[in-house]
Amino acid sequence: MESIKGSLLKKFETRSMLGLARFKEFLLLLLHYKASCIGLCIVMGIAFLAIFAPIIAPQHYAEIDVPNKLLPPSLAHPFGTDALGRDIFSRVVYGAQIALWVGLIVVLIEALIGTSLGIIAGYFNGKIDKIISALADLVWSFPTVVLALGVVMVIGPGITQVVIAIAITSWPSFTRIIRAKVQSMVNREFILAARSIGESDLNIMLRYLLPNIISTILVLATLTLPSAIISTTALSFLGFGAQPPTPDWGAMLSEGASLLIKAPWVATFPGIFIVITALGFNLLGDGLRDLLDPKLRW
Amino acid sequence: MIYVDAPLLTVKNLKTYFYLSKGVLKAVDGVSLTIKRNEVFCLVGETGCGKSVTALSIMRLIFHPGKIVDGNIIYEGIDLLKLPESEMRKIRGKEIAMIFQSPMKSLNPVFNIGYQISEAPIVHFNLPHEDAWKKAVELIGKVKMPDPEIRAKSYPHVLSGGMRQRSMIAMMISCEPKLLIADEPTTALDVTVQAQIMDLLLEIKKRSGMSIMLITHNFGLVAERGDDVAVMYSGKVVEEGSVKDVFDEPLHPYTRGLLGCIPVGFKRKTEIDYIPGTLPSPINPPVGCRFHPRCKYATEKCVKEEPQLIEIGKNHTVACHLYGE
Amino acid sequence: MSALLRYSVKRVLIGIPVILLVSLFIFLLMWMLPGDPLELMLLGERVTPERMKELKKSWGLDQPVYIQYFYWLSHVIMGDFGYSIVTRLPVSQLIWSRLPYTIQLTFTALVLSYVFGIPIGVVAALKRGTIIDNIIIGAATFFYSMPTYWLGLILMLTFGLYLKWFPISGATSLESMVLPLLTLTLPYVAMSARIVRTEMLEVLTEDYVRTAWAKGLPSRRVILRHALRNALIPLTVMFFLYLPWIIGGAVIVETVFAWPGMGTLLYKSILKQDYPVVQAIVLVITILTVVCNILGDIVSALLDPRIRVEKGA
Repeated sequence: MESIKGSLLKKFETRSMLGLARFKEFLLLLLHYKASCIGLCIVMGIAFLAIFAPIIAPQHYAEIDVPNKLLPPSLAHPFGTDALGRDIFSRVVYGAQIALWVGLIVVLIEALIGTSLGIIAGYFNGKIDKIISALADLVWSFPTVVLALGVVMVIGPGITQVVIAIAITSWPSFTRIIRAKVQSMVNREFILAARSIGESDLNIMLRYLLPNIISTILVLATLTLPSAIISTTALSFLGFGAQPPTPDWGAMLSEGASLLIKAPWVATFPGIFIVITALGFNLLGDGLRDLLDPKLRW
Repeated sequence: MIYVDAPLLTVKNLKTYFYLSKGVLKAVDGVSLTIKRNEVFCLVGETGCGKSVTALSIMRLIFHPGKIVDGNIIYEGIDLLKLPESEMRKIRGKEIAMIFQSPMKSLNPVFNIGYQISEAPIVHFNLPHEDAWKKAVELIGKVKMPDPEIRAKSYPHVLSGGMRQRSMIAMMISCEPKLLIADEPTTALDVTVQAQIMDLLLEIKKRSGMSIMLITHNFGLVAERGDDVAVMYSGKVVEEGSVKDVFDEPLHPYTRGLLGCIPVGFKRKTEIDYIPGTLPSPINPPVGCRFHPRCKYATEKCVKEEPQLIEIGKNHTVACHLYGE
Repeated sequence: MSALLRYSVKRVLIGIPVILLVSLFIFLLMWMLPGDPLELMLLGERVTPERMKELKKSWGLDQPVYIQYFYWLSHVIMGDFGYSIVTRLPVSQLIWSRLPYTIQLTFTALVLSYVFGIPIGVVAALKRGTIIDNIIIGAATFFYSMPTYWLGLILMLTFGLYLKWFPISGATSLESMVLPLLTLTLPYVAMSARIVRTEMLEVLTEDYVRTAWAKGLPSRRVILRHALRNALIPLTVMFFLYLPWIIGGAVIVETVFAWPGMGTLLYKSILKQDYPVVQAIVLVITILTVVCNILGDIVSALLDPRIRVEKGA
């Protein structure tokens, strides 16, 4: 008398990697982990908001209406209005767009740099590995915010600058893990076999190693997205990231900080959304990790 | 009252199950065996038949998601399964000890072996640290490692496999247990070292009079060094008796099959006899006799009813419908 | 002990060129700014033309770039970071006056996060699968997903403004440290607890822990001495890596709570484009990061004898 999950697990293990059928089973299994289910829902919800922002938001985010400034939440303005009379709900919805977009780009850059360096380090070992690892250790331990501030001071504030600055300090989180994975695979027979038939190093890395680490990359990407979003909003909070009137959640928080007693809703709602988004991706990422690559910790 | 020639350890109908998400894994499903004093008792069977779990159950080292569900383990008149944990702790390492299969992973990498060997005497006998250290050095000498004083300060990762196993042995005999369970102690070692370790174990047994429960799948070892043997299959004991009896006259078809698999000498045989089929799943074992799907002599009774252990000849038991009424 | 010493010396020796490289990088970064940064640095001081000439010479402003670097380096090693454009005070004095506040906040946060994080993580690991474990993981994930600035604002709102238990800005009393400390500590307690829990769970299933049980050692000894000792190795190393991160977090927390530390100094200096100050702070933090890395390596070698042999002599 097996449990449903048990029989699903069994089926999951006996099929091959590709195929739509496997994907369906995968989703079913994911749903059994309630936490990641919640994460998935949150992520889908935020993505939905982001994609359909122009339709969902009742107003444009930059629409100023000063006579109606600092109104508490009501039917007309579900989240209230800010100091310039803008509808906070609309701004939060558009903010989802920015948050996800920015987060994705940061993760993409990080993944590109981090994965390539990780594969190179793990595959070649020796001196190259030592240099890359030492560099990764150093960069990883450096506080992102400080470096981002330094970069911002040199090339000026703005979302693009912030994105670059954050991606530059965060790639090591990919590198270390990819490197470890590659190292564990490099000695396996299929790599040795590929070498013995004369495959070039580049080919081996791209066509043999890469497909096997895609699941790891996916898990890592899901787990680093929240930090990317938090870091970018942090810089916007300090005033160095998104510039007004861009409805970045962090920027909205900083506007609301000074109005905390008078109009707490200005800061509260964007803040809640940041937390929920980060939580959603973290939960989803944890679930993905348990399924695809349980050896990844932290 | 305990008689001198009373058995040292008796296991009666032991059942240890593991509750997994896939279902209930019945690793040990009704195992009974008897270990006498000052003997080498061998527990043989294929990988996955439940030998190690039996040993761990005797030591009550079964953790979540496993549980000892039923049975009695009588040691010196006491049922170990009914003891509170604090009492069982006093027996582990002191009365009954166990050495494991892979010495590389079974030693703590952050302590030197002198410390690890001295721990049990400190805890069980309240020895002061210097005395315990001296004892550890002495034991390192007893297990035939050179330069005990220096060795005691070494960390496990600098030692070879054989030396690590010797360290394990030193650790476990430090309190002079009456029963030493050795779970495949030589499987992970080189062939030459294997013989040395077995010789060492037997020498210790001779000197101290302890019993060894040797778990192995190597029949050569059993034939050479064993006194009594129990054959396990799919969580149950299918045959038990002295090594001489079981090897000369194997009763159970499985035992016969196993012994028949061993290539003997260079006789011209075209094939090696093997037992067809594979081990049944421990979650869904076959009904009736567990061996019947692979057995040449299976009858209808075998499919429906589980055979019990019956005594045929002196101290030679078998669980098979071919025997008895 | 000598293997450890050799390893430590090696790490320190590698660290020195790294620090030099990093300082070069920062110097060049500043050099990219419009205007001559060193000149800007000296603009701060009200000087006579003769003094200006003197200073220009001592900083090598009439020399080509690569020579300027060495002049700059020699000044920096002496602790002379030039002068703040805004306040006309020596930068080193500014940093020195702020540093104690930042250290107070960050160190306490770090220590507290371990003091609370480790026991919580151990409890979660030992009670794996139970409600307590799930609560702990849930709370940890929650705090870990929270941005520091938001946590700070929420705490400020509830405890500072509504309940009025603690002051929300400045460094006037011990109480004023509570909110910023809490903001900084909570996410790290969450992180530490998670790591400890994962490590403990892994270590508890290791064979050598089973050996420890088999010897009949009492639970306390097995869990604390055998399991935890191994599980804490990554965490102890992380202690040194957390420090730069916490300082980064402190930048934000200090700004939110107007805590007079290096963080607020950095923030204000960037706003006012006070380059010499920013450069000095970034340099100090970078050097601190390298030093923490080295310390982390040495400590990990100290705790795990295997590393000494593999990477050592």
